[in-house]
Amino acid sequence: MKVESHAMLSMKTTLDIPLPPYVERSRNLVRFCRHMPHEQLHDWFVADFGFRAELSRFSFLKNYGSLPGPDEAFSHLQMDARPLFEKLLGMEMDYPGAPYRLQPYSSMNYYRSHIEEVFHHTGPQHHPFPPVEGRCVMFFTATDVLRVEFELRNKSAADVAVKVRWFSRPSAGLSHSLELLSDGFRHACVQKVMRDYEASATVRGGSSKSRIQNSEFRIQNAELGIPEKEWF
Amino acid sequence: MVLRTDWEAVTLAAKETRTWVFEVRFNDAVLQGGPLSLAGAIENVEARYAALPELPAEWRRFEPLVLRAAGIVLNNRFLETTPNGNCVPTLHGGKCGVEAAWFWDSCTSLLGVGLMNDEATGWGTYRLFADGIAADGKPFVRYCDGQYVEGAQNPILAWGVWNFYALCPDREALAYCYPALKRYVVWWMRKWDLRGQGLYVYASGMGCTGLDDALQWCENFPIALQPGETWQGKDWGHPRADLFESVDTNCHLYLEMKALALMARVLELPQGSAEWEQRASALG
Repeated sequence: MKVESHAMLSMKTTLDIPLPPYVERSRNLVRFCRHMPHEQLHDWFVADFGFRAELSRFSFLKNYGSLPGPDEAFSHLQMDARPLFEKLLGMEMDYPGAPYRLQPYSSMNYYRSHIEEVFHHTGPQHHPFPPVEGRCVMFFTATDVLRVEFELRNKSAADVAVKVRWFSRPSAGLSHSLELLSDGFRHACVQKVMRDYEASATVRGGSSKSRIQNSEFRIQNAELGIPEKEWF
Repeated sequence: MVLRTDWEAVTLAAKETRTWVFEVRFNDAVLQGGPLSLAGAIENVEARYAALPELPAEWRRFEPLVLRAAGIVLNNRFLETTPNGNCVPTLHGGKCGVEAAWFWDSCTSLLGVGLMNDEATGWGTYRLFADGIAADGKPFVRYCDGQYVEGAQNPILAWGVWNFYALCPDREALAYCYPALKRYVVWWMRKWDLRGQGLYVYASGMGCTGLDDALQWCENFPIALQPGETWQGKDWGHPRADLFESVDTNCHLYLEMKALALMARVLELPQGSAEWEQRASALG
């Protein structure tokens, strides 16, 4: 059965119209998200799963039901793949002094070049929502380099106090190492599949755009223990 | 393992937008068998697709679907570590929460593996499954992280083995699996013929029900709303597979018996073959 090389399948456009953001260097984001009612497997790239850029050896998944930020991340240098992260990067948010418990709610927009997650918090029925709208954009700036932007926008005419923090749940693999950096961490683990391989990821950032080099992102603690999986 | 940052208190001024940026740099490296370049990996993958048989002209429109299925099957192959420390290639049910060699899923999906002539994955999985059948024939529901997880799914193990054998004949592997398959089907026959009629109920209380639960298995069936009832207030009861002998369970067991009869014939066990044929005839 003849199959086109997936490298040949990247779509080209000659339309003289402004490109939407994020497409400049990655116009071949392919996806195979979790099963959602309105989504199917990508019909022209047969061996892929997850979101990835052209020629990227890593994919990540994004579930609309999870906290903001990318979910599982996989390496697929081989045909076999095991997760490098159970949750690559998640954002937790709190409204100090809120009169009731707030639940995050996400909706997703998928583009060929990037994924945009829009989130906000809801409360009990007939209660007003907080006036803050969140956005998380996931975008491959280069092969195997994922940029994750979290944005909070106060839509009201008054100040709003919030608290934010980020978390990550790496997968352990057969053996793993964790190195804390001044502005992030590096996680590596060995996977034993058809051909053993070591996968790693360095996560940096967390400050505002202008201060990315002097990020305040740091690891508070590293609790060992694999969370229980949700089987169905 | 969970990593967390400190809470960061932020006051968002009116109409203000605040941004936090992260960058993730991935890398990987093969540890055994020499380096494998991405181009090499792609070449290997595409060679597998190229080796797939041509589809007949009238099925040519299904080619993208076949390629997708082949890609998924290839992606889900795994090298499991067995309880005694050996490594065997298996097939997982998927990613993200279903990373395991599932009983039911494997029996059906391994047919695709067989079509691709991947004997190692197919027989590796079936040998692993045979090892997981208890001495009394009790099955498991999945194998992951070096453990068999208790439970039951619809009985199609012998059917799966026999059909994989038809695609990738290996008499030694068949002989290895046969005793466990026999114990397994006998377990169904002994334990789940609750009313002694030669018909079997689904293995209730064993976890999931093959993911094909029917509402008629609920205690309070029929569940149709009666006048004055509301959907929200309706008490459907709980599923109870032991309430009746399900058609699909008995059909699957019939196929199991037929498969065991055919296996016994290949393994030159004429008495076993005759017995299983007789059992199948009685049920079917």
